[in-house]
Amino acid sequence: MIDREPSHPDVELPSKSWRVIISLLLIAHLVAIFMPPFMLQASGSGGTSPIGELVMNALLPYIDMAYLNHGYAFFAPNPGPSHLVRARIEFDDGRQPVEETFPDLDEQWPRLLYHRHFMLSEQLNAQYQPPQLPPEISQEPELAERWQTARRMYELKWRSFQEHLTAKHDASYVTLTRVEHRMIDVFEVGEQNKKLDAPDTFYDLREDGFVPPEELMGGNP
Amino acid sequence: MNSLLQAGKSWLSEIVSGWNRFWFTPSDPHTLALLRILAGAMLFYTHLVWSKNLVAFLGPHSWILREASMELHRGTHAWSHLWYIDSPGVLWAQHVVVLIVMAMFTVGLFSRVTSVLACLLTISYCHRLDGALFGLDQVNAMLAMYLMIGPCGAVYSVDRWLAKRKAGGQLPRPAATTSGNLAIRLIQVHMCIIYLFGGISKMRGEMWWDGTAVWYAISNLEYQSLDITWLVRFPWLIALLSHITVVWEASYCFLIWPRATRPIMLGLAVCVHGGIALFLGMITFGLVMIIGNVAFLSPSLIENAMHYFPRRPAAALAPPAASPAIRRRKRPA
Repeated sequence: MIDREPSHPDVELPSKSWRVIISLLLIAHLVAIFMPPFMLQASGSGGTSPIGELVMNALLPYIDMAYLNHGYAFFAPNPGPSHLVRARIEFDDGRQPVEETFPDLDEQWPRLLYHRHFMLSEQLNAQYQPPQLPPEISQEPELAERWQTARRMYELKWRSFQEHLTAKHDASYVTLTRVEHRMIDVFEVGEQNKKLDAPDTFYDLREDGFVPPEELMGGNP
Repeated sequence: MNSLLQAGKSWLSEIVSGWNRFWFTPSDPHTLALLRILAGAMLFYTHLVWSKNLVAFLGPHSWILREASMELHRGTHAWSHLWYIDSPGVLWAQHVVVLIVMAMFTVGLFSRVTSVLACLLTISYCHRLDGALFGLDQVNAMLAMYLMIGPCGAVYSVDRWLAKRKAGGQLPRPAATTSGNLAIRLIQVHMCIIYLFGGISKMRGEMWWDGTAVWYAISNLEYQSLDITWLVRFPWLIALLSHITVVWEASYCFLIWPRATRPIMLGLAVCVHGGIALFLGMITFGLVMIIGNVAFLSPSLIENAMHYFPRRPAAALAPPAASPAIRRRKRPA
């Protein structure tokens, strides 16, 4: 079962048949870890790379199962603004409505737990799709279908958050608002002494698809 | 024509030979064992932190409801055992078992079994907790997946200690294995892919080119753990850090392999990820990326470094089990 490497006779290798089997599995696995981040980049206004899609679809069952579907685009293409979620919790038993925002450093400790809540709000925002089919894609069935799927995912998360907070507070109604904390540039801090938590740097995001101009400044953190 | 054919054949044979050496040369288990301890500790801590809000994240009224999580994965091949657990009591019972598995994996007890369980459980948690995950979980799952391939409990483990006790205090040196090399090589290649696409995706953003990206990262209040916005007085330094980050990430997959540039790449990895851990509030993510880089340290370096721990002198080590030929071979990475 042991071979020797011809050019390096002091190196012992598994038998040839084992090497062939393992090599084929290795190649399949290497393609599987390469394709998800590649496909994230291999897309443009003309859609995604057809050959990339072909390979990706063939390996998708394995990629999904092994939790390999990642883009590795950390702080890219640009660092972006942060997103929080503010919840207004109302009761029908006479209690006064309360408001809470997540993530919240005072409530969530250790830091990893805070970051989990931060990801909840960030990823909800990242999945946002306007409630009505945007007119510019209404004539394109493929894009329209993508919008529909993405909107359904967004609504699923939205309702999950609502249900979680309703149960947590034994409330009768929960209203969620996405909040954007815009980026503050060097000039504002260096010259104008603006604080990072200045109230005017927080914006409520509307659910009807309105995008504040500041959001156009950057991508995703 | 004949010489052209001969050149082609020799080129192909060189490639096959290089492939064989890269993937199949047996390697000592010391790097893999150190990775097991570090990654295992991170897996344990990650799952321990879920305990603090276990029912809020996995219970019947969790942030992402069980049904919603299943729906989010409908049509995919992802699977989680947590989709079938509704009762908080059962949830807690299985979570305690998960913590025990992670702890056993970290200390290297029944590591052949616990390494496989640690991987399956980590991925299962990730599939259920979609929506609250980030880079830490991706690298955790990646390390767990590869650690189960090789003999990660062959040294620095309770398994080794128990085997030694059973053998009356004397054990041969653990053998170099192909599976150990495969596991390390897969971690190395996966790290290269992570950095390559990290670099490429940054190259598509203008802030990494105009040198302001690091400013927008450190001035992001929700990420910030230590305030270093005083750097605003040194815009050239902010730009330098932005450019170094992109160049380092994009070139990592090429420059990590030559021995001459490897220390520079690893040093920069510690600086960049140390910075993320200290200043951007992602201590766990920063650390797990540094742990991934440990795969590029040679087993002999780790073995020698571990001898500084006051256990027993190096001279008292039993003679190697591997053949002298293997001991003489050129060590991978």
